[in-house]
Amino acid sequence: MLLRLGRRLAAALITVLAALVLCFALAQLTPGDAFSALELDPAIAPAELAHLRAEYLPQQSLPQRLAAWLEAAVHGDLGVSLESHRPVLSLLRQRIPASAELLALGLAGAWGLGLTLALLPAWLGETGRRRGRRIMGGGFHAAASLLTSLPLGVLAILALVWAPVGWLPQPGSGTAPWLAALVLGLAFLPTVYFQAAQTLAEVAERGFLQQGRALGFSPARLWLRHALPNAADVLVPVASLTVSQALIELVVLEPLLGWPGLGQLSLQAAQSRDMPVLAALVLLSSLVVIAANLASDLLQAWLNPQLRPARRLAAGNGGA
Amino acid sequence: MRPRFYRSALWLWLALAVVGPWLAPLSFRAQDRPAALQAPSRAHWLGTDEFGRDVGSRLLVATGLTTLLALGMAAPALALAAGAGLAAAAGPRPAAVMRQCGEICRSLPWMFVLVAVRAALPLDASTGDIACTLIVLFAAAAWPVAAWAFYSAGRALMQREFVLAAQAMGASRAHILRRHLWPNLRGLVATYFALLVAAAISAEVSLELVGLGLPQPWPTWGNMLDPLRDYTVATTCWWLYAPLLLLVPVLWGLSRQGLRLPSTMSERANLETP
Repeated sequence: MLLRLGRRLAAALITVLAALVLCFALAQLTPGDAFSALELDPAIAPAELAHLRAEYLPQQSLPQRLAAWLEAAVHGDLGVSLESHRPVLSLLRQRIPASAELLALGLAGAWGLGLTLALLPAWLGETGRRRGRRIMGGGFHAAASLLTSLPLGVLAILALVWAPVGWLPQPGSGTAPWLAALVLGLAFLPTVYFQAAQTLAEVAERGFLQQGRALGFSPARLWLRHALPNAADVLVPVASLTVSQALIELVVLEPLLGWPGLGQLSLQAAQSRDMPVLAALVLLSSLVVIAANLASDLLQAWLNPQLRPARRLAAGNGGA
Repeated sequence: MRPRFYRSALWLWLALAVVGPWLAPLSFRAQDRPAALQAPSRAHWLGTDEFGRDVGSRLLVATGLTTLLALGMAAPALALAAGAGLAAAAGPRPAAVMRQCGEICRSLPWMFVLVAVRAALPLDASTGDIACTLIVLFAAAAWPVAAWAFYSAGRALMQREFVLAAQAMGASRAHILRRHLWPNLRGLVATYFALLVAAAISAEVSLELVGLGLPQPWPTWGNMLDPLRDYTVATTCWWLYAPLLLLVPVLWGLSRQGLRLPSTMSERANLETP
């Protein structure tokens, strides 16, 4: 377990470094910089521009810049935004709660609803209503397929058009992210539903459910106590995948719905070519993805006795 | 509905994508500002957009362009995945390298990298540059999942009797790959291609809506939906939703192909889990 964890952490470190190298190398290779747009302004002399560049854009080689940036980052200094002249750390700190709230609400909704929808037909089948089960399963399947056919951006636009006015995020008024969370939840509902339904169907074919039925367990006990924990082994990695995927989708969702989070910040930073902010965002998002992967690994090891250290199994604690 | 129905519908879409741009009755870029946002009529079968361009003609060209871009995005990703996955499966050692690379690629925040790249490209970056960026970043982001699926399916095949027999007869790795692995994995590869094309279309549309896709005046399904971000336009100009009539069935059909993945537990039990 410890070895596994250590290898995981080493891989995580390499990932973060790779992300940063990529980001810095791309910034180096591509021609524009934060002051390119000022070249078009006749009121700014070329000498002034050169002065600005010398002050804000360090003239070092790529490894030197990366090393300097990393050293500062380790000390908690992510640099200063080229656009707003505020420390990047405070910019991030301002945006993180909004994005975290949106992610938590959206994913909790998607998982709650997705698991419920996957379990409902099974429960119907358990109580003998075969036909109802078939119709319900088919309906959910079709609805989920339709949702997969709508890209996130389209979902966001449709939501903006059809949502009641009170639901729209108001800048600065601190409204809850209901609309954005709803769109995010709907976007991830099909993934969760399909995975959960498929995994539960596979679990249902295993012997222990039959035995539970023969022993007269209630449907709730059968599916919640026995089927779901066995499905969790497959579903936990999917959950970590949805977290990293949702983080990516924020870049599309937040600007479209006007939600002031990290996604919107990244797009604004891109428009003003604000490299310190973008580098910090790359660092932050890769850290979140790695944390999600690590959490899923640990959770999986905790859920699945086969992955636990051998001596606890030997002590007779092996049943799932 | 039957898989055959979806397959013929997908062929129909591909045919439309090839022929469509030549069928467009009007120019996709000719603007007619006074005739902006007109409802469908004899002259403009699907109305006009906010610059007075013919939506029907733009839709035909957009179908071709979006399809081309999506296939262009999915093909390198698939080639990378199939190459890495199958080489690792047939290779001498289980693929720690492929797995580590895949893990790293999967954890990289590609969307933020894409945003950063677009920030660093010059303001007047050409359409070709932007398409290349999308293709490269999509391939880098999408290959690991497919590669892992090919790898585990390939490993499972490598333990089957016919492969063992071929190995016992001294068949080379290349021979086993060509004669035993590839014919058995073709279906899986085709399925993943459908899924990757769907993902590419989805990504293209979403990126287009936040201004990170192909630039105007080139029409794509995504940027034809762009005017709908304006509330009044979205509530009054129903004909601007026309791209959805193609987008939704195509994505539906492609994801239906993807639902045919081999996934029962007995099949999966044969495959190694990550």
